[in-house]
Formats: sequence, C-alpha cells, structure tokens
Amino acid sequence: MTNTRFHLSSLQLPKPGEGQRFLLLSILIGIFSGLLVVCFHIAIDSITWYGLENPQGRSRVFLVALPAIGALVAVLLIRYWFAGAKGSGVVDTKAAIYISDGHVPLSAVFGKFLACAISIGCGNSLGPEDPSLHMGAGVASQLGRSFQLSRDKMRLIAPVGAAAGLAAAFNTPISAVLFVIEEIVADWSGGVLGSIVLAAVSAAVVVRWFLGSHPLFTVPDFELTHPSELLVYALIGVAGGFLAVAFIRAVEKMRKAIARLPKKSELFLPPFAGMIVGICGIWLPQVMGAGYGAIDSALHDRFAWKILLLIAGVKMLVTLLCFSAKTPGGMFAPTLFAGAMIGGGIGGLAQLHWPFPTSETGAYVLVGMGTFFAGVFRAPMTSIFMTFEVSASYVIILPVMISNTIAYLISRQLQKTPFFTMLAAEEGQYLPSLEEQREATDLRVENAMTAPPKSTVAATAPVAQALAAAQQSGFALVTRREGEWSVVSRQELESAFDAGLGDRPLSQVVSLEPLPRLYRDLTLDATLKLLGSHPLLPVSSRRRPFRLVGTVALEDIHRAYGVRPPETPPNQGQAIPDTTLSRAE
Amino acid sequence: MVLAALFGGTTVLASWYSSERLSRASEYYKDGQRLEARGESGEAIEAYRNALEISPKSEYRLALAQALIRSGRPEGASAYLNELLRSDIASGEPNLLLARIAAKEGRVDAAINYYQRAIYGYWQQDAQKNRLAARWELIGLLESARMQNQATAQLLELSEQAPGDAPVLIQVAKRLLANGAPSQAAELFRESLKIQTGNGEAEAGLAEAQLAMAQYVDAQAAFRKAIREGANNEEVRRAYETVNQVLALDPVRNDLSPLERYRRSLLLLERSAALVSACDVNTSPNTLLDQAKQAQTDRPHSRDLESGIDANIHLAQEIYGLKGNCAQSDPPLARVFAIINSK
Repeated sequence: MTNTRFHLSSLQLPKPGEGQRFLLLSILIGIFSGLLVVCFHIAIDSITWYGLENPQGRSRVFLVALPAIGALVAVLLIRYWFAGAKGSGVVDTKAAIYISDGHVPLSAVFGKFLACAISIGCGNSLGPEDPSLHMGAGVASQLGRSFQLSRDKMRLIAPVGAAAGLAAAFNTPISAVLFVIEEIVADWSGGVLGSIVLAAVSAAVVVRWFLGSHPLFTVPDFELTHPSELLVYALIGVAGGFLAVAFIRAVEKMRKAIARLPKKSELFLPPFAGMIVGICGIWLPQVMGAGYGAIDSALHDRFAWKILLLIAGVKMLVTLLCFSAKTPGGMFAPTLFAGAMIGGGIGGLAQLHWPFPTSETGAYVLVGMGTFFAGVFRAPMTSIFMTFEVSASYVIILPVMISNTIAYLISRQLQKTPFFTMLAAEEGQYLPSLEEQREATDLRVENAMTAPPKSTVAATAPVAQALAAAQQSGFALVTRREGEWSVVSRQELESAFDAGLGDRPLSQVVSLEPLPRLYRDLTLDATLKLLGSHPLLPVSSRRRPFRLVGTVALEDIHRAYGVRPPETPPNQGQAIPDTTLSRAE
Repeated sequence: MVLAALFGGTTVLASWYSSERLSRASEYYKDGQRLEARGESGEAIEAYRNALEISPKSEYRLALAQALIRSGRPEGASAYLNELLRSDIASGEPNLLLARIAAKEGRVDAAINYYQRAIYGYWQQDAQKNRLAARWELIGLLESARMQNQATAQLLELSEQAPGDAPVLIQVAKRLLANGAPSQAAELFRESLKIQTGNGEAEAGLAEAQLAMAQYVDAQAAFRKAIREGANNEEVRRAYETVNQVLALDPVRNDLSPLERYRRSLLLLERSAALVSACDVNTSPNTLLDQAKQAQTDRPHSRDLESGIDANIHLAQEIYGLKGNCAQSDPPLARVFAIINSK
C-alpha cells in the first residue's frame, strides 16, 4: 500500500534569501517612515495652529519672539541631546552610504523629529522634507541593523529609507525615487530600484491613509494660450537659474562667515534668524514656516505681481538666514516657495506687457515652483516630476520641462560645486557628487583596441602553423568555430612543437577555451575585469558578432589610461600572464 | 510590537488631528459667513481661505468663490469653481456661477455650456427653482446674443417643464412673443387661461399675439376682455386702439357693404395723403395728392363703386409709397396696407 499520510513538514516554504528579505524590509521601512512622517506633519501643524494661526490677531512681540524661541529650543535639543540630528538630511544619508556603512543613529531620527517640528512649527523659514528624508534613512538604518543585513545591503538601506521619507513628506512617490537616484545613490541595480520604489510607495500609501489622498496643492485648470507664452516660461527658467546661483553663493559665503565666528554663536544665530523671520512675518506672514498655504494662494491668483516678487525676495532672504544659521529644517519647501513666487511675479508682469495672450498667474506660479528647485539642487528630473505630482496637472509639463531645464543648465554652468557637495565639504566630508559622476567620461574599448591580427589560425590547423603565426605577437588567435575565438601562447606552442607534436592539430594538443567577446562601447573598467584571466580579448561588432574587429591586451589599456608599462627584462617583452599559461598547461 | 504601537499611536493622533482640522476649518467658515453678513467681504474671503487651507471641503471652496464674485473678483473665483467641477462636473451651483462669469466676460459659447450643465446638473437644495432660474438666465443670454431660435427652443422647453404653472407659462409666452414666435405664445396664453380663467395679463398677451398674427377680430375681442379683467395699462390701450382703427379702416373686409368699403377706401386715401403731406415729400402739381383730393369729391354711381374702391386703394398705396424713409408713421394704416397686400 502506498503511504498516503500527509507530511506537513514537506510544505515548508523556502527560506527567503537576503535579496528577498531586503525587498520585504523595504515595505516595512516605507510603513515605518510613513507613520513617522504623518506624526511629524501633525506635530508641525499643531505647533503652527497654537502658535501662528491668525497672525494678524497676534501681538507683534509674540510674532517676533515665537520663531526665535522655536529656533533656540531646536538648537538646544540638537546641541545637548541629539547631536546626530545636526546637519543636512541628504548629506547625512550620503555619508551613511559612503562613510558609515549605512549607519544612521536612531537619535538622529528623534532629534530631527523634535527639533524640526518645533523650529518649522514656530515659523522659521524652512521645510519638513529634508528632515523627513533623514528620518526615513534613520528608520531604515535601524531596521537594517535589527535584521542583521550584510554590509553591502546596509549601505543601500539608507537611500531606501530616504526615498520613503521624502515620498511621505511630499506625498510624491515618483519624485522621491527620482531624487534618491539623482542625488543620493550612484550605483543601483534593478533590485535596489525595486526596494526604493517599494519603500516610497508604501510610505505614500500610509500618508494617504492617514492624511487623505489629495495632492499637496489644488491647482486650477491651465492651458497654453499661445505658443509665444513658452518664451515667458523660458524667462522664468532664466530668472530661476540666475537667482538659484546667487542664492547658493550667498549661502556659501554666509555659512563660511558664520563658521569663522566663535563656537558659542551657534546658539545665538538661529534665534537671531528666527527673530528676523518674525519681524518680516509682521508684514508678510506668508514667509513664515514652510509656506505651502501661500503657494496655494498664489496658485489661485491671490497676489499681484509686485507682491509676489516682494514675497519671493523676502523668503529667499529669511531662508538664507535660517539655513546659514543652521536652524533645524530643510530647504526643499523654501526653494519651491521662492520659485513659485518668482514664476508668479514674472507671469503677472507678462500678463500686463506681453503682446500675446497669456495664462492665469497660477500657471506661472506652478512652473516657477520647480524652477528654483532645479537651479538650487540640480535635480532636473525630480523637479519636473515633483511639479507634476504635487499639482496632479499634466498640461503644465511642457512649460515645466523648458523652464526647469534652463534653470538647471544655468546653475550648472555658473556654479561649479553642487549644493549638497558644498554642504558636505563644509561639514568636513568629501562625498561624491553624483552629478559629476554621471558626467565623467569613461574610457571604452574603442579607445584602447588595436587592429586584429592579420590572420587567425583554425583549431584544426597544425601546431607548427600556429607557432609561425605566434612568432610576431607572442600568441596565436585561434578560431574555434565562427565567432568563437581562443588564444594560445607562443611558449605553449613551442613546448608542443619541441615534444614532436608539430604536425598534430591544435585542438588535440592544447586546451582551447573560448574567450569572452568585447564590444567597442564596453568600458575599460569592465574590460579589465575580464582581462585578469586572459592575455588578450577579441573585439567584435554588435551588428555582426562573428566578425573580429580588433583585440585588446593589458598594455593597450595601460596606453589608453596613459600609464607607462613596467620595465620588462630583455626577452620577456611578449610575456603572457601566468594564469593563461597555467591553464594551458 | 513597535510597528503596532506606532500604528496605534498614529491612528489616535491622526484622528485627533482630523477632528481638530475639521473644527478649525468650520470655525473659519462660520466666521466668514458672519463677516460677510456684516458686509466685511475682504475679511470674509480671508476666513474662507483659511477654512479651505485647513480642510479642502467643497462647501468652503464654493463659499470662497461666491464671496469673491460678490466682492467683484470673478476672475479669482473661476479657479475655485473649476476645481469644484473637477471633482463633480454635474454640480449645479458652480456651473451656474461659471456661466455668469463667462457671460459677463462675453464668452457666450462657454456660458451656454455652463448654463446647460447647471440646468441638467444636480442641486443640493431647491433643485426645480434653481434649474428654472438658470434656464431663464440662459434665455436672457441667448436673447442678448441675438440667438432667437435657441432662445425660443429654450422657452418651449421651459414651458414643458412647468405645466399647470400659469405665471411661468405667461412669462414664457411673453418672451416667445418678444422673440417673434406669436403662434407659440398664443398657445401658451390660452393654456394659462385654461388654468387661470380671466387672467387679464394672459388675455392681454393673447391679444398681443393675435395682433402680431394679424388676427384683428380675435385680438379686438381679447383686448376687450383683458381690459375688462383689469389689464388696462397704456400699452394695452394703445394696442387696442390700433386694432380698432385697423378694423375700422380695412376696406377689403368681405362682411362690409360696397358703400362702406368705398367710404373706407376714401378714408385710406385721406390718411395716406395726410401722412405723406406731414412728411413734406416733394411732389409736382397734378400729382398723386391732387388726384387724391379729386377722388374725395367724386361721387361714383353705385354700379361703379367696385372700380372706385379699387382705384382709391391703388392710389392710396401709391401715395403711401411716397413716404419713403420718413420718420412719421401711422401703424394702423401700415397694418391695413399689409392686409390689402396679403389679399
């Protein structure tokens, strides 16, 4: 009789590998980050409600004092209890990847939460996105440690958390993924991208679950009224680009000047900056806090162009002060704010003087929003998709692409050091700039390859014929079959010949291992890894892979990189690496 | 454990936050209503904006848009109204407000579109009344844009939606009459008279419609009835007088004796000559006016009466033709010539 007993143990699920655990962990990171950011958001709003709501009804002294007190409390928290929360979230997340093997202290999460909620809630001109990103990275790092991930995976966990934090802060999962790819993580594979996406999506789902699924701004309907209007949008891009450069330089100079002040000034400068914010807030309450409400009002045509430009100028000034004084908080919201007001101001002016029909001011506000962001952070794709996501308006995508690209190009041309690289350098960290990495030109096979040997030897040819072919170059390239080559060294052939096997076919005498094929566009970096086990590699065409178009040897790569070949003793000029020889033997 | 605790904590916090947000937004909204009632529209708009910033409810958006319109800033209101339509395109009120804005800005096609949506959309309160008001506004717009056919179509549709409602039917009939659709107007006046027998306004309207259709005998009876029912205003009296004069002047009526018709033809000749004389038209001696004078003194034999009538009418027509673009007018005379020409 057959045994029909059912063994439960036979149903055991396979144990997940680290890759799969990493993906599952990403979802968990997204959920944790989302929950944390929801609480962070509520904390900021609650403080604002009780402190700043209805600013016209508050006394002037209160308005001036509140941001100053908020900044002081925030700075004290960071100085005495949460030192890990000091600095930019983006820079710290990058540092976690490149310096501390993915380690972001948990104290940074709590510190950022408390200090930034108080500082931003009390009206300091900074935003909650960079702290959210930092908190996400911190949560991810802690979870990674708890799950005992390998060092490689730990290095990748911080950007996954950063994406979750940013997605939750803006309710923009696409932009969060793009920002992390553009600004934080350089080497990413399909698996890493999958984790980043999963974390961002889970975080956004959590935020929408608790705070509603409506976009950050309710944007009126727009349409491109006249093709010439694109010139106005281009003008917004130009203005955004130049102002972004001016802003970055001002931040750089001011932070350098502050760094020269005595250490104790770190305690007094944020309250001072907060006081200035409060003073400006008496007349222009829109510049206080993150300013999303003011952006929404501008989108709905609430302000005249002069007011919009005035608000933009004052916002840039107070943000410069707060950020340079190192008041806890991020720069994302203020850059969106300043850009929106600049765009609206130029748009309002165009409505009066542009000779062709123009759109509502709100359209220019929306386009301007991403422009200053693109200029300051040099993340053009993020800025485009962020505008698209926060507004849920597709019509505006063409003007946004034009103006953001212009602002990005101007900023890149005039400001050599990217914003986050500059911040990292100030903190004494030399982190890689992903922009520079992207733009670095790699040497490729076509820069090193030499012409193919005049003749190749068939695998069926006698050893003597192959030896003759190898006399010049020190090796013979053997065609095993069409499009498949092997290499045999002269020494090997000489040994076979000396053993009296000169008339025997090559394939019977030596081991003919197929060589990996190279193509012109492969990087020399990748080629070097292959050359480690072969003295020479054939280069073929991608269009006709069976055709030999050249060869690459180690000395060719040295030449391409400008490295002088090591001096070789006489009679060893054509030496072939030992690995090949040993394998042939 | 940590996740569950965080989730639970966030749920509690978010629920408090949500209720706090709603109550704050509601406070602002009520403030806005109070301020608006006191005539402080600027402050009211601010309060509505604050409410909307805290909670994006359609109610607040609509209140803000209405306040902006009332304070003379319709361009600012359009954006909010369009946002409302984005979430609910069939909502009646935003469509009606947008229609008014578009009409004010001269965007007739857009306004018609919005009005149609307001008419067929849904309303939270007083749906029938609001739809009726929206259609009236649409009709007004079509009339002012000289789109009479569309206006008539809307009026007829309106009459179908208000069966048994005499005041509405009378109103519709009056507009139809003004838009050059007297037969439809007469129909509706009769319908309204079936509902409210002896309604002077309807009787007068019917008489006007019959006058417009050149049904003078019926019009005279209707006018008489209207005056008896109290519709005794200047306009009605003037129209009644016209009808009476036409009927007294018409020389081609079949129910008259040849002698009476001859007498009327002379009267027609006399009034035509008087009108042309008043117009100071240049005429040479022995002209048509002299012939008219001569006709007044002629006494034809009874067997030549018919030819005399024809000659007089013909002469009167020729003299009336001399009037040209003269500003002087004699409406009854013109109507009589129209009757003659139609025969």
